[in-house]
Amino acid sequence: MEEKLTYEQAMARLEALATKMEQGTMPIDELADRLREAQGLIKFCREQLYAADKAVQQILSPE
Amino acid sequence: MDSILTLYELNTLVRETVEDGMSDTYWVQGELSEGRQGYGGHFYGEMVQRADDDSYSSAGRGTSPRHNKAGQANQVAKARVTCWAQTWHQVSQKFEEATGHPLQAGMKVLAEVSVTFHQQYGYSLNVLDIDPSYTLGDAARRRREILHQLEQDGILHDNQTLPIPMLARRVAVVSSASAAGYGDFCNQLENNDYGFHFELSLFPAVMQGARVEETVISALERISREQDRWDVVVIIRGGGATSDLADFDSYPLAACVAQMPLPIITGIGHERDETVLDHVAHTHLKTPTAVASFLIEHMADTAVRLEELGRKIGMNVTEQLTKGQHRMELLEQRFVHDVSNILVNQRHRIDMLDLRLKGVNPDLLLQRGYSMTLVDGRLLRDVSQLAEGKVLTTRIEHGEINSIVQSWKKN
Repeated sequence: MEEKLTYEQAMARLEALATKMEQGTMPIDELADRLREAQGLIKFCREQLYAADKAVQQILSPE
Repeated sequence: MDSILTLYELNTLVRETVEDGMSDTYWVQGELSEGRQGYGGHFYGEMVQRADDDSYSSAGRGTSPRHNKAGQANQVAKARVTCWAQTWHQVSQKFEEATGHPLQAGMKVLAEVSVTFHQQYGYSLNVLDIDPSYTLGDAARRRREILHQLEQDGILHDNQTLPIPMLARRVAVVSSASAAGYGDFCNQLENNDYGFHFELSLFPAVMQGARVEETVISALERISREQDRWDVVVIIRGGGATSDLADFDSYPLAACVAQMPLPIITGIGHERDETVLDHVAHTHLKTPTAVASFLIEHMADTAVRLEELGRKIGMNVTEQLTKGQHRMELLEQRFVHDVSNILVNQRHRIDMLDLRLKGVNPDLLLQRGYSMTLVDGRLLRDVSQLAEGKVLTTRIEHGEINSIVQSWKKN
């Protein structure tokens, strides 16, 4: 994973990985690694989303 | 030398000649150059005709006293006039009722007279009647001529086109400190019910007599030079019964007023008459008191307008704020909605991806008892990938099996 990965980049990568896996064209040796990568990306995206949600709630809640 | 007469005898002869030869009455026009009511109510005066006076042909007559022409140098005729008390009472009353002015020295009059001669007092005219319409018509014509001239010069309405400022607070007063009405004017402005503060300054002028024109013009010129200091000019004097408005019927004075850079309000009027000055001034009122009321009311109007404007602005601001607040609320709602939508969508997208990825995880299949077979590191899907003696690797949930191909069959 690149250091400054954006949410959008991560999502695009995830989409590409899922498509490739579903097509069955991925070498089986890569499969486990890619799967691990995908899980990492999903975790990253969930965290990003959670952070964004939390930030929004904080902004909207009256002090 | 038989025919030597005493003076008395001679004068008696003159008297008889005059009384016999001039027994009619005559209508004579002339200027009443002086006059006073003596003991017993009889009127004693003097009538003159002046050499350079063009009033007997066309213009220039009027009720205005001609003090500047006084003196005997240009007199071409003079006569003593008397009027007996009872006649004088009637004549003067009729004159004042018709013209609004008392009969006084300096006026041009048309009088019906009888000619008398007295041995001791000499020649005099006994006034029997005075035609006020002559004096009146004269003053009116003179005013008309001045107004006509002002119109031709294109300045008649100049002062009236100037706006009275909304805050007409700084008032330049042309009057005489001793004039009746000036004190009342100041008091009224200073003690107005609203508590408005007026800034007053007196520019003294003579408000009656021959020096009116000169001194009022001079006062106006002084005001003109510091016009930025004043909002409005008032010309006032109290309405004394003996006042003579004709002093204000002057072309130079009217032209000066018309061309003043500040609006002028007059309060010099008589109940009946309007002077030329009233015609050219921005606003003319009857009395100084009326002028003070006008200024106070003008300020009050302005105060009301200001209050109304303030209220309107306040309302407008509140309205705008409410509108803005409403807009912000809508925007906020939209924003919150949009943001939560985005978050929900993204969460859904991630969940879907997660599911998809889980679906392709081969370990899940192995856990459920399926196996998968690889040849040359690739998933074996078709027997065409096979050759005799190839090593197959079969993955199951717990371990791998290597086997060698012996035979195959395509289904």
